[in-house]
Amino acid sequence: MSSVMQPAPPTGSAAETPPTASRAARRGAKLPLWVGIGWIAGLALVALLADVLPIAGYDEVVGAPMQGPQLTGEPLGTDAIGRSVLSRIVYGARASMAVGLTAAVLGLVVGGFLGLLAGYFRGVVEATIDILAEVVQAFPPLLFLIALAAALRPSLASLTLALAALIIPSFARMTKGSVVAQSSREFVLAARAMGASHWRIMFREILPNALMSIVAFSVVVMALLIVIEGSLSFLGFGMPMPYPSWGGMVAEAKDRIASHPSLTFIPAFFLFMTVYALNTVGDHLRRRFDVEQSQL
Amino acid sequence: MLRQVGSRLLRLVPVLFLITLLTTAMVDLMPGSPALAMLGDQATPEQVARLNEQLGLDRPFHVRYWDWLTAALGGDLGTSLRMGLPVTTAIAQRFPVTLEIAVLSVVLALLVAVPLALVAGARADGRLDRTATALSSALLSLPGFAAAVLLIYLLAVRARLFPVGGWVPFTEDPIGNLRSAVLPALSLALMEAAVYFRLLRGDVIRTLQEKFVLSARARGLPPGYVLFRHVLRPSLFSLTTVAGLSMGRLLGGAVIVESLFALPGIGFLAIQSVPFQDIPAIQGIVVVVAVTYVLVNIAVDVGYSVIDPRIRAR
Repeated sequence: MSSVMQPAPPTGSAAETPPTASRAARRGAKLPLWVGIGWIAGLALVALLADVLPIAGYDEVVGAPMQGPQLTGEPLGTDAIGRSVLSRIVYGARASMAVGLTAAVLGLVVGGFLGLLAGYFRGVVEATIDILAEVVQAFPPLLFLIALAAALRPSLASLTLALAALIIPSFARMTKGSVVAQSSREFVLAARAMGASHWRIMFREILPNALMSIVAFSVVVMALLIVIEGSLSFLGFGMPMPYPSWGGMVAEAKDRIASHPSLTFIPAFFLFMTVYALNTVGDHLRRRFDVEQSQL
Repeated sequence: MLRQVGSRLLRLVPVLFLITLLTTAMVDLMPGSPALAMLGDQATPEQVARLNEQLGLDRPFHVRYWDWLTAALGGDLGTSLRMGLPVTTAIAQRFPVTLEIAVLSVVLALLVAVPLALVAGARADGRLDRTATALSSALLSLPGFAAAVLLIYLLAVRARLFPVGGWVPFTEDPIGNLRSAVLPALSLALMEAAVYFRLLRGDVIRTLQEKFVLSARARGLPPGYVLFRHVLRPSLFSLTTVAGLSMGRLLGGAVIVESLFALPGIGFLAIQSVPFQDIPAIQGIVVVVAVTYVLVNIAVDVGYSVIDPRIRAR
C-alpha cells in the first residue's frame, strides 16, 4: 500500500502547532513521552535478550494449536500450529528493530552524505542527486522493495539493504534542505574567509549544526521502516519463513480472525505501539530542535 | 504557468528512461529466469532455454531495452508473459478499479476531515479538538494493513455490513460494487483523514487570526457562516496539495489493500507479476504509475490557480 510509504507528515512540528494551542493540548495529543521511551527501551532490551529469556524457541511447537493461556501455560497462547505467540512476538521484535534501525542508520549515513554534498556544492551535484532520488521515488515503493528483495534473495540483509535504498533519497533531500539553510549563515562565511577547506566547512561547520534535526528525522523514519517491513512481511515478501515477523504473524492469523481474533490483534497491537512510540519520540526531538534553531 | 508545466514534463523524461532501464535489468538481476518461473522446477534446462529464447530473453540487455523502448514510444508496452495479453489491455482493465478505490477513499477522508478540522480548529484546545487530535496522531501510527484487518473484523466479520473481500464490477451490480469498494476505500481513508485533519486544523487556526475574520465577526455574522464562507477557502491550500499528492499515490495502486481484499487493480497486478518475473507487465505498470503521478501533481498546481486568483496573476 502506497500510503504507508511516505514519511508521516511532521505531526506537531512548529509549523503545525498553532500559537494558541497550549502545552497541555500538545501533550494530550500524543502518547506521554516517557511511555514512548519506556516502550522502545523495553522492546529493545527484550529483543536483545531474546535468546536468554525463559521463552520457547520461535519455531518450537509448545502445545495444542490456538489455545489460550489457561491450557498451555503460554502467557499469550499458541498460534495456528501450536507455537508460542509470546516467543514469536519477542523474536519478531528483534526482526523489526534490527531491520528498522540498521536501514535507518544506513539511510542516514549514505543519504546524509549525499545531501551534504548536494546542499553544499549545488549545481551539477545537486541535479544528479535530485534525478536519482526522483527515479527511486517514481517507482511504486512496495514494488521497488519486492523486486529488489527478490533480486537479492530474501534474507535479513537484503531486506535491510532494500529498505535503506528506498529511504536514502528522503534523507538526502532532508539533509540538503538544512545544509542549504546553514550554508548562508555567517559562521560559514567566516570559515570560508579564513580559508578553510570544503571538507572542513562541510564536516566541522555545517554538519554539527544540521545533525540533530537529521537525527530526529531518522527516528520518525525508523517508525516508517518498521511499518514497511511489516507490510512486506504481511504480503509474504519479508523475512524468510519460519522466522517470525509481526506483519507475517498478522497475515498468518487473518484468515482465522472470526474464530481467533486475538492471534491477529496481538502482533498488530505490538506493531502499532512500537510505531506510535517511535513517532512520539521523533516528534518530540524534532520539536525540541526546531525551537533551538529558532532561538539562534 | 505553461512554461512550468512544460519543464515538469521535460524532467519526467530522464526519470522514465532510468526506471525503465532498471526494470529491464531486473531480469538479469533476479535469480532464475521468467521461463523457469513459468515452467516450474520440474522443467529441464533445455525446455527453459527454449522458452527463454522464444520470449526473446536470451538476447543481450541493450537489444531488449531498445526493442522495448521503440515499441513503447509507439504505444505498445509489449505482451505480459504471465497472462499472454497486451500489457496496455491488462492495465486498462484494472485501472478503473484502482481509480474507483482512490477517488472513494480521498472523498471519504475529506468528508470526515474537513468538517471535523473546521469545528476543532474553531475551538482549539476544546474537548472535541483534543479528542480528534489525539485520535489522528494514533491513526497516523496504525499501519495500513492493520487498519484494514481491524475494519474487516469490525465491519465485515462482526457487523456483517460489507463483504470480507472480492470485487463486484459496477456494470454487473452497482450496489454490490459500492459494497465491495467501501471497506478497501475506508482502510485507506483512515490514515488520509488523519493527515488531512492535522493539516487543515492548523491552517484554520492560523486563518482565524486574520483581520478579515475579526471584521466579519465584528459585523455580527454568525460563527458558522464565518467559518464556512470566510475561513474555509483561504485555509485549503496545503490540503489541496496533500490531497492531490495522495490521489497521485493511490492511483499507483494500493498494493496491500488490493491484495488483501483481492481487488483486480493495478497494485494487485504488480505484485502478482513479480514472482513470475513478468517484466513487460511490471515495466508497463511502473511507466503508467510514474506518468500518472507526475500528471496529477501538475493538475494540482493548475488547480491552485483556480482556488487562488493571486497565483493566476503571477
